[in-house]
Amino acid sequence: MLNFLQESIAGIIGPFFLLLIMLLIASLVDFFLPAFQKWTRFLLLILILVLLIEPARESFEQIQVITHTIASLFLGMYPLIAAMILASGATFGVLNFQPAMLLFAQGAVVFADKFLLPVLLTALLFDIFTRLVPEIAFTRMADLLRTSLLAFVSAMVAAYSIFITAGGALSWTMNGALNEPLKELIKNNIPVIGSLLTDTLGSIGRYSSGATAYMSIWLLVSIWTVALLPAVRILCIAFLFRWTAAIIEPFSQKEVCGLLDDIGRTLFVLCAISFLLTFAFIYTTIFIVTFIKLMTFGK
Amino acid sequence: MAILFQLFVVYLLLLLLSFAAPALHPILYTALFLLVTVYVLFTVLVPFGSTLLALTDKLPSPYATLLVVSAGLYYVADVLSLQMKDEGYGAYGQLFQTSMKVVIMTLWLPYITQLIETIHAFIPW
Repeated sequence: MLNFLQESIAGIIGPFFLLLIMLLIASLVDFFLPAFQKWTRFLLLILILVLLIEPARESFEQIQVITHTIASLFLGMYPLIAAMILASGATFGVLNFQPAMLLFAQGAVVFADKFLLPVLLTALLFDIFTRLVPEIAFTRMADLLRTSLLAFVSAMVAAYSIFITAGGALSWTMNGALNEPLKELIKNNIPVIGSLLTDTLGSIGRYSSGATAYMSIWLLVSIWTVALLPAVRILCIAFLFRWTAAIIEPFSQKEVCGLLDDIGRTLFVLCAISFLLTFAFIYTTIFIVTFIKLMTFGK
Repeated sequence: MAILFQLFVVYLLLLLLSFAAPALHPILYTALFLLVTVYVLFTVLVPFGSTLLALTDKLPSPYATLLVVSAGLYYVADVLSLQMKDEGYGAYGQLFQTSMKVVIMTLWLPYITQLIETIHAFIPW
Protein backbone atom coordinates (compact mmCIF):
# COMPACT_ATOMS: atom_id res chain seq x y z
CA MET A 1 0.00 0.00 0.00
CA LEU A 2 2.76 2.40 1.03
CA ASN A 3 4.78 1.40 -2.03
CA PHE A 4 1.81 2.05 -4.28
CA LEU A 5 1.26 5.43 -2.66
CA GLN A 6 4.92 6.35 -3.10
CA GLU A 7 4.87 5.32 -6.75
CA SER A 8 1.76 7.29 -7.55
CA ILE A 9 3.09 10.39 -5.80
CA ALA A 10 6.43 10.07 -7.63
CA GLY A 11 4.57 9.62 -10.91
CA ILE A 12 2.78 12.91 -10.42
CA ILE A 13 5.53 15.01 -8.83
CA GLY A 14 8.44 13.57 -10.86
CA PRO A 15 7.72 15.46 -14.10
CA PHE A 16 7.53 18.75 -12.19
CA PHE A 17 11.00 18.24 -10.73
CA LEU A 18 12.24 17.25 -14.16
CA LEU A 19 10.91 20.57 -15.44
CA LEU A 20 12.74 22.47 -12.68
CA ILE A 21 16.08 20.82 -13.56
CA MET A 22 15.48 21.35 -17.28
CA LEU A 23 14.85 25.04 -16.62
CA LEU A 24 18.19 25.25 -14.80
CA ILE A 25 20.02 23.69 -17.76
CA ALA A 26 18.07 25.83 -20.22
CA SER A 27 19.05 29.00 -18.39
CA LEU A 28 22.73 27.87 -18.47
CA VAL A 29 22.49 27.22 -22.22
CA ASP A 30 20.80 30.61 -22.72
CA PHE A 31 23.64 32.24 -20.85
CA PHE A 32 26.25 30.72 -23.17
CA LEU A 33 24.27 30.97 -26.38
CA PRO A 34 21.85 33.90 -26.40
CA ALA A 35 21.11 33.22 -30.08
CA PHE A 36 19.73 29.81 -29.12
CA GLN A 37 17.00 31.28 -26.87
CA LYS A 38 14.09 30.71 -29.26
CA TRP A 39 15.01 27.05 -29.63
CA THR A 40 15.23 26.54 -25.88
CA ARG A 41 11.81 28.08 -25.40
CA PHE A 42 10.35 25.75 -28.01
CA LEU A 43 11.98 22.67 -26.46
CA LEU A 44 10.65 23.63 -23.02
CA LEU A 45 7.13 24.01 -24.42
CA ILE A 46 7.42 20.56 -26.01
CA LEU A 47 8.64 19.18 -22.69
CA ILE A 48 5.68 20.67 -20.81
CA LEU A 49 3.17 19.44 -23.34
CA VAL A 50 4.58 15.91 -23.52
CA LEU A 51 5.39 15.36 -19.84
CA LEU A 52 3.34 17.68 -17.67
CA ILE A 53 0.07 17.52 -19.54
CA GLU A 54 -0.06 13.81 -18.79
CA PRO A 55 -1.48 14.32 -15.23
CA ALA A 56 -4.02 16.80 -16.64
CA ARG A 57 -5.05 14.38 -19.39
CA GLU A 58 -5.39 11.57 -16.84
CA SER A 59 -7.70 13.74 -14.77
CA PHE A 60 -9.90 14.44 -17.77
CA GLU A 61 -10.01 10.73 -18.63
CA GLN A 62 -10.84 9.82 -15.05
CA ILE A 63 -13.76 12.25 -15.01
CA GLN A 64 -15.04 10.84 -18.30
CA VAL A 65 -14.88 7.29 -16.94
CA ILE A 66 -16.75 8.38 -13.80
CA THR A 67 -19.51 10.05 -15.81
CA HIS A 68 -20.01 6.90 -17.83
CA THR A 69 -20.06 4.77 -14.66
CA ILE A 70 -22.65 6.97 -12.97
CA ALA A 71 -24.81 7.05 -16.09
CA SER A 72 -24.76 3.25 -16.38
CA LEU A 73 -25.45 2.88 -12.63
CA PHE A 74 -28.52 5.03 -13.07
CA LEU A 75 -29.66 3.22 -16.22
CA GLY A 76 -29.21 -0.12 -14.45
CA MET A 77 -31.13 0.93 -11.34
CA TYR A 78 -33.88 2.97 -12.95
CA PRO A 79 -36.32 0.14 -13.88
CA LEU A 80 -35.88 -1.38 -10.43
CA ILE A 81 -36.46 1.95 -8.71
CA ALA A 82 -39.51 2.65 -10.84
CA ALA A 83 -40.96 -0.75 -9.92
CA MET A 84 -40.25 -0.11 -6.23
CA ILE A 85 -41.93 3.27 -6.35
CA LEU A 86 -45.00 1.68 -7.88
CA ALA A 87 -45.02 -1.10 -5.28
CA SER A 88 -44.67 1.10 -2.23
CA GLY A 89 -46.28 4.45 -2.50
CA ALA A 90 -46.61 4.92 1.26
CA THR A 91 -42.97 4.23 2.11
CA PHE A 92 -41.95 6.67 -0.51
CA GLY A 93 -44.09 9.41 0.97
CA VAL A 94 -42.37 9.05 4.35
CA LEU A 95 -38.98 9.60 2.80
CA ASN A 96 -39.84 12.68 0.78
CA PHE A 97 -37.22 11.82 -1.80
CA GLN A 98 -38.02 13.37 -5.11
CA PRO A 99 -37.60 11.20 -8.21
CA ALA A 100 -37.42 14.42 -10.23
CA MET A 101 -34.27 15.32 -8.37
CA LEU A 102 -32.70 11.98 -9.25
CA LEU A 103 -33.52 12.68 -12.88
CA PHE A 104 -32.02 16.15 -12.53
CA ALA A 105 -28.79 14.76 -11.08
CA GLN A 106 -28.43 12.28 -13.93
CA GLY A 107 -29.25 15.02 -16.42
CA ALA A 108 -26.38 17.01 -14.93
CA VAL A 109 -24.04 14.04 -15.48
CA VAL A 110 -25.02 13.72 -19.13
CA PHE A 111 -24.77 17.49 -19.55
CA ALA A 112 -21.26 17.46 -18.06
CA ASP A 113 -20.19 14.64 -20.34
CA LYS A 114 -21.63 16.02 -23.56
CA PHE A 115 -21.18 19.75 -23.08
CA LEU A 116 -19.06 20.89 -20.11
CA LEU A 117 -16.03 18.62 -20.65
CA PRO A 118 -15.65 19.32 -24.41
CA VAL A 119 -15.94 23.08 -23.80
CA LEU A 120 -13.29 22.90 -21.07
CA LEU A 121 -11.00 20.90 -23.38
CA THR A 122 -11.50 23.55 -26.05
CA ALA A 123 -10.45 26.22 -23.56
CA LEU A 124 -7.31 24.22 -22.76
CA LEU A 125 -6.48 23.81 -26.46
CA PHE A 126 -6.89 27.57 -26.97
CA ASP A 127 -4.42 28.15 -24.14
CA ILE A 128 -1.88 25.74 -25.62
CA PHE A 129 -2.09 27.34 -29.07
CA THR A 130 -1.76 30.81 -27.57
CA ARG A 131 1.47 29.81 -25.85
CA LEU A 132 2.87 27.98 -28.88
CA VAL A 133 2.18 30.90 -31.25
CA PRO A 134 2.08 34.04 -29.08
CA GLU A 135 1.31 36.27 -32.08
CA ILE A 136 -2.15 34.71 -32.47
CA ALA A 137 -3.63 34.99 -28.98
CA PHE A 138 -6.82 33.30 -27.81
CA THR A 139 -6.43 34.27 -24.13
CA ARG A 140 -9.72 36.11 -23.82
CA MET A 141 -11.58 33.33 -25.61
CA ALA A 142 -10.23 30.71 -23.20
CA ASP A 143 -11.05 32.91 -20.21
CA LEU A 144 -14.57 33.50 -21.51
CA LEU A 145 -15.15 29.75 -21.92
CA ARG A 146 -13.85 29.04 -18.43
CA THR A 147 -15.88 31.73 -16.68
CA SER A 148 -19.09 30.78 -18.48
CA LEU A 149 -18.51 27.13 -17.52
CA LEU A 150 -18.15 28.19 -13.89
CA ALA A 151 -21.40 30.14 -14.18
CA PHE A 152 -23.18 27.04 -15.52
CA VAL A 153 -21.83 24.83 -12.77
CA SER A 154 -22.71 27.26 -9.97
CA ALA A 155 -26.23 27.66 -11.39
CA MET A 156 -26.65 23.88 -11.25
CA VAL A 157 -25.37 23.71 -7.68
CA ALA A 158 -27.84 26.45 -6.73
CA ALA A 159 -30.61 24.39 -8.35
CA TYR A 160 -29.58 21.39 -6.25
CA SER A 161 -29.79 23.45 -3.08
CA ILE A 162 -33.25 24.70 -3.99
CA PHE A 163 -34.43 21.14 -4.69
CA ILE A 164 -33.15 19.94 -1.34
CA THR A 165 -34.58 22.76 0.76
CA ALA A 166 -37.88 22.44 -1.10
CA GLY A 167 -37.96 18.79 0.00
CA GLY A 168 -38.34 20.03 3.58
CA ALA A 169 -37.72 16.70 5.28
CA LEU A 170 -33.96 17.13 5.09
CA SER A 171 -32.34 19.70 7.29
CA TRP A 172 -28.83 20.81 8.13
CA THR A 173 -28.27 19.03 11.43
CA MET A 174 -24.56 19.63 11.87
CA ASN A 175 -23.51 22.42 14.16
CA GLY A 176 -23.48 25.58 12.09
CA ALA A 177 -21.20 27.53 14.42
CA LEU A 178 -18.54 24.85 14.13
CA ASN A 179 -18.79 24.82 10.36
CA GLU A 180 -18.66 28.49 9.44
CA PRO A 181 -14.92 29.20 10.06
CA LEU A 182 -13.97 26.09 8.08
CA LYS A 183 -16.13 27.25 5.18
CA GLU A 184 -14.56 30.70 5.26
CA LEU A 185 -11.09 29.15 5.28
CA ILE A 186 -11.82 27.04 2.18
CA LYS A 187 -13.55 29.95 0.45
CA ASN A 188 -10.60 32.27 0.94
CA ASN A 189 -7.76 29.87 0.22
CA ILE A 190 -8.80 27.92 -2.86
CA PRO A 191 -8.70 30.26 -5.84
CA VAL A 192 -11.44 30.49 -8.47
CA ILE A 193 -13.77 27.79 -7.15
CA GLY A 194 -13.49 28.17 -3.37
CA SER A 195 -17.00 29.52 -2.74
CA LEU A 196 -18.51 27.03 -5.17
CA LEU A 197 -16.77 24.25 -3.27
CA THR A 198 -18.18 25.27 0.11
CA ASP A 199 -21.67 25.66 -1.34
CA THR A 200 -21.53 22.20 -2.90
CA LEU A 201 -20.19 20.60 0.24
CA GLY A 202 -22.91 22.36 2.22
CA SER A 203 -25.59 21.00 -0.09
CA ILE A 204 -24.20 17.48 0.07
CA GLY A 205 -23.94 17.68 3.85
CA ARG A 206 -27.48 19.00 4.15
CA TYR A 207 -28.74 16.18 2.01
CA SER A 208 -26.85 13.29 3.51
CA SER A 209 -27.41 14.39 7.13
CA GLY A 210 -31.09 13.73 6.49
CA ALA A 211 -30.25 10.24 5.41
CA THR A 212 -28.37 9.29 8.60
CA ALA A 213 -31.70 8.26 10.07
CA TYR A 214 -31.80 5.35 7.65
CA MET A 215 -28.18 4.28 7.28
CA SER A 216 -25.11 3.98 9.44
CA ILE A 217 -22.70 6.88 9.64
CA TRP A 218 -19.78 4.71 8.47
CA LEU A 219 -21.51 3.76 5.24
CA LEU A 220 -22.15 7.44 4.68
CA VAL A 221 -18.49 8.28 5.34
CA SER A 222 -17.31 5.62 2.91
CA ILE A 223 -19.69 6.87 0.20
CA TRP A 224 -18.41 10.38 0.76
CA THR A 225 -14.79 9.27 0.54
CA VAL A 226 -15.28 7.30 -2.66
CA ALA A 227 -17.18 10.16 -4.24
CA LEU A 228 -14.83 12.94 -3.19
CA LEU A 229 -11.51 11.20 -3.87
CA PRO A 230 -11.27 12.06 -7.61
CA ALA A 231 -12.22 15.69 -6.95
CA VAL A 232 -9.60 16.02 -4.21
CA ARG A 233 -6.96 14.42 -6.43
CA ILE A 234 -7.69 16.87 -9.25
CA LEU A 235 -7.56 19.74 -6.75
CA CYS A 236 -4.09 18.59 -5.61
CA ILE A 237 -2.81 18.32 -9.20
CA ALA A 238 -4.18 21.80 -10.00
CA PHE A 239 -2.38 23.19 -6.96
CA LEU A 240 0.82 21.44 -8.09
CA PHE A 241 0.59 23.19 -11.48
CA ARG A 242 0.05 26.63 -9.95
CA TRP A 243 2.73 26.01 -7.34
CA THR A 244 5.28 25.11 -10.03
CA ALA A 245 4.27 28.18 -12.05
CA ALA A 246 4.81 30.37 -8.98
CA ILE A 247 8.23 28.83 -8.28
CA ILE A 248 9.62 29.10 -11.81
CA GLU A 249 8.30 32.57 -12.57
CA PRO A 250 11.49 34.54 -11.70
CA PHE A 251 13.85 32.55 -13.89
CA SER A 252 11.83 31.04 -16.72
CA GLN A 253 10.38 32.28 -19.97
CA LYS A 254 7.03 34.01 -19.75
CA GLU A 255 5.30 31.41 -21.93
CA VAL A 256 6.42 28.45 -19.85
CA CYS A 257 5.07 29.68 -16.53
CA GLY A 258 1.99 31.15 -18.23
CA LEU A 259 1.14 27.78 -19.76
CA LEU A 260 1.48 26.04 -16.38
CA ASP A 261 -0.74 28.68 -14.79
CA ASP A 262 -3.39 28.20 -17.50
CA ILE A 263 -3.39 24.43 -17.10
CA GLY A 264 -3.79 24.89 -13.34
CA ARG A 265 -6.76 27.22 -13.81
CA THR A 266 -8.42 24.79 -16.26
CA LEU A 267 -7.98 21.98 -13.73
CA PHE A 268 -9.71 24.09 -11.07
CA VAL A 269 -12.75 24.36 -13.34
CA LEU A 270 -12.52 20.62 -13.99
CA CYS A 271 -12.57 20.15 -10.23
CA ALA A 272 -15.79 22.21 -10.05
CA ILE A 273 -17.36 19.96 -12.70
CA SER A 274 -16.22 16.88 -10.82
CA PHE A 275 -18.05 18.19 -7.74
CA LEU A 276 -21.20 18.23 -9.81
CA LEU A 277 -20.61 14.57 -10.64
CA THR A 278 -19.78 13.82 -7.02
CA PHE A 279 -23.11 15.21 -6.00
CA ALA A 280 -24.95 13.07 -8.54
CA PHE A 281 -23.05 10.00 -7.34
CA ILE A 282 -23.77 10.65 -3.68
CA TYR A 283 -27.42 11.36 -4.36
CA THR A 284 -27.89 8.22 -6.46
CA THR A 285 -26.04 5.94 -4.04
CA ILE A 286 -27.77 7.20 -0.91
CA PHE A 287 -31.11 7.04 -2.66
CA ILE A 288 -30.57 3.42 -3.63
CA VAL A 289 -29.21 2.36 -0.23
CA THR A 290 -32.00 4.07 1.70
CA PHE A 291 -34.64 2.70 -0.58
CA ILE A 292 -33.41 -0.87 -0.36
CA LYS A 293 -33.21 -0.58 3.42
CA LEU A 294 -36.76 0.73 3.66
CA MET A 295 -38.05 -2.03 1.42
CA THR A 296 -36.46 -4.70 3.60
CA PHE A 297 -37.90 -3.04 6.72
CA GLY A 298 -41.31 -3.26 5.19
CA LYS A 299 -41.14 -7.01 4.91
CA MET B 1 43.40 29.24 -18.10
CA ALA B 2 46.14 28.02 -20.42
CA ILE B 3 43.70 27.79 -23.28
CA LEU B 4 43.06 31.55 -23.19
CA PHE B 5 46.79 32.16 -23.55
CA GLN B 6 47.03 29.64 -26.42
CA LEU B 7 44.10 31.25 -28.22
CA PHE B 8 45.66 34.67 -27.91
CA VAL B 9 48.98 33.38 -29.28
CA VAL B 10 47.17 31.91 -32.30
CA TYR B 11 45.44 35.27 -32.81
CA LEU B 12 48.81 37.07 -32.83
CA LEU B 13 50.12 34.46 -35.26
CA LEU B 14 47.18 35.16 -37.58
CA LEU B 15 47.85 38.92 -37.45
CA LEU B 16 51.50 38.29 -38.30
CA LEU B 17 50.51 35.99 -41.18
CA SER B 18 48.29 38.66 -42.70
CA PHE B 19 51.36 40.90 -42.97
CA ALA B 20 53.87 38.23 -43.96
CA ALA B 21 51.85 36.46 -46.66
CA PRO B 22 48.67 38.34 -47.64
CA ALA B 23 48.05 36.08 -50.63
CA LEU B 24 48.13 32.92 -48.56
CA HIS B 25 46.16 34.44 -45.69
CA PRO B 26 42.68 33.00 -46.45
CA ILE B 27 43.80 29.38 -46.73
CA LEU B 28 46.16 29.63 -43.74
CA TYR B 29 43.48 31.34 -41.68
CA THR B 30 40.94 28.62 -42.51
CA ALA B 31 43.33 25.77 -41.77
CA LEU B 32 44.50 27.29 -38.50
CA PHE B 33 40.94 28.13 -37.53
CA LEU B 34 39.76 24.54 -38.11
CA LEU B 35 42.68 23.14 -36.11
CA VAL B 36 42.06 25.49 -33.20
CA THR B 37 38.31 24.85 -33.33
CA VAL B 38 38.77 21.09 -33.06
CA TYR B 39 41.29 21.60 -30.25
CA VAL B 40 38.98 23.91 -28.28
CA LEU B 41 36.02 21.64 -28.95
CA PHE B 42 37.71 18.60 -27.45
CA THR B 43 39.49 20.29 -24.57
CA VAL B 44 36.81 22.71 -23.41
CA LEU B 45 33.35 22.31 -24.91
CA VAL B 46 32.91 18.52 -24.89
CA PRO B 47 34.11 18.08 -21.27
CA PHE B 48 31.92 21.00 -20.21
CA GLY B 49 28.89 19.53 -21.99
CA SER B 50 29.39 16.11 -20.45
CA THR B 51 29.78 17.65 -16.98
CA LEU B 52 26.52 19.50 -17.54
CA LEU B 53 24.87 16.25 -18.62
CA ALA B 54 26.27 14.38 -15.62
CA LEU B 55 24.13 16.69 -13.46
CA THR B 56 21.05 15.13 -14.99
CA ASP B 57 22.33 11.56 -15.02
CA LYS B 58 19.62 10.31 -12.71
CA LEU B 59 16.77 11.70 -14.78
CA PRO B 60 14.99 9.17 -16.98
CA SER B 61 14.22 11.47 -19.89
CA PRO B 62 16.48 12.40 -22.83
CA TYR B 63 15.46 16.07 -22.86
CA ALA B 64 18.57 17.46 -21.15
CA THR B 65 20.86 15.56 -23.55
CA LEU B 66 18.78 16.75 -26.47
CA LEU B 67 19.00 20.38 -25.36
CA VAL B 68 22.75 20.37 -24.69
CA VAL B 69 23.66 18.41 -27.84
CA SER B 70 21.54 20.60 -30.10
CA ALA B 71 22.93 23.76 -28.48
CA GLY B 72 26.48 22.44 -29.13
CA LEU B 73 25.67 21.62 -32.76
CA TYR B 74 24.13 25.05 -33.22
CA TYR B 75 27.22 26.72 -31.74
CA VAL B 76 29.64 24.81 -34.00
CA ALA B 77 27.57 25.59 -37.10
CA ASP B 78 27.33 29.24 -36.09
CA VAL B 79 31.11 29.58 -35.61
CA LEU B 80 31.97 27.79 -38.85
CA SER B 81 29.51 29.82 -40.90
CA LEU B 82 30.88 33.04 -39.35
CA GLN B 83 34.33 31.97 -40.49
CA MET B 84 32.99 31.42 -44.00
CA LYS B 85 31.44 34.90 -43.88
CA ASP B 86 34.86 36.28 -42.89
CA GLU B 87 36.29 34.89 -46.09
CA GLY B 88 33.51 36.49 -48.10
CA TYR B 89 31.42 33.34 -48.61
CA GLY B 90 28.34 34.59 -46.73
CA ALA B 91 25.85 32.68 -48.85
CA TYR B 92 27.75 29.41 -48.34
CA GLY B 93 27.82 30.01 -44.59
CA GLN B 94 24.08 30.56 -44.65
CA LEU B 95 23.63 27.22 -46.44
CA PHE B 96 25.80 25.50 -43.84
CA GLN B 97 23.81 26.97 -40.98
CA THR B 98 20.47 26.06 -42.53
CA SER B 99 21.48 22.44 -43.05
CA MET B 100 22.66 22.24 -39.43
CA LYS B 101 19.28 23.59 -38.33
CA VAL B 102 17.61 20.83 -40.33
CA VAL B 103 19.83 18.28 -38.57
CA ILE B 104 18.81 19.68 -35.17
CA MET B 105 15.14 19.56 -36.16
CA THR B 106 15.60 15.91 -37.18
CA LEU B 107 16.81 15.20 -33.66
CA TRP B 108 13.66 16.81 -32.27
CA LEU B 109 11.22 15.29 -34.73
CA PRO B 110 10.14 12.29 -32.55
CA TYR B 111 9.26 14.66 -29.71
CA ILE B 112 7.33 16.98 -32.00
CA THR B 113 5.36 13.96 -33.23
CA GLN B 114 4.68 13.05 -29.61
CA LEU B 115 3.52 16.62 -28.94
CA ILE B 116 1.07 16.49 -31.82
CA GLU B 117 -0.23 13.14 -30.57
CA THR B 118 -0.70 14.55 -27.07
CA ILE B 119 -2.70 17.48 -28.37
CA HIS B 120 -4.66 15.10 -30.57
CA ALA B 121 -5.53 12.90 -27.59
CA PHE B 122 -7.24 15.90 -26.01
CA ILE B 123 -9.77 16.22 -28.77
CA PRO B 124 -12.60 13.92 -27.70
CA TRP B 125 -14.51 13.82 -30.97
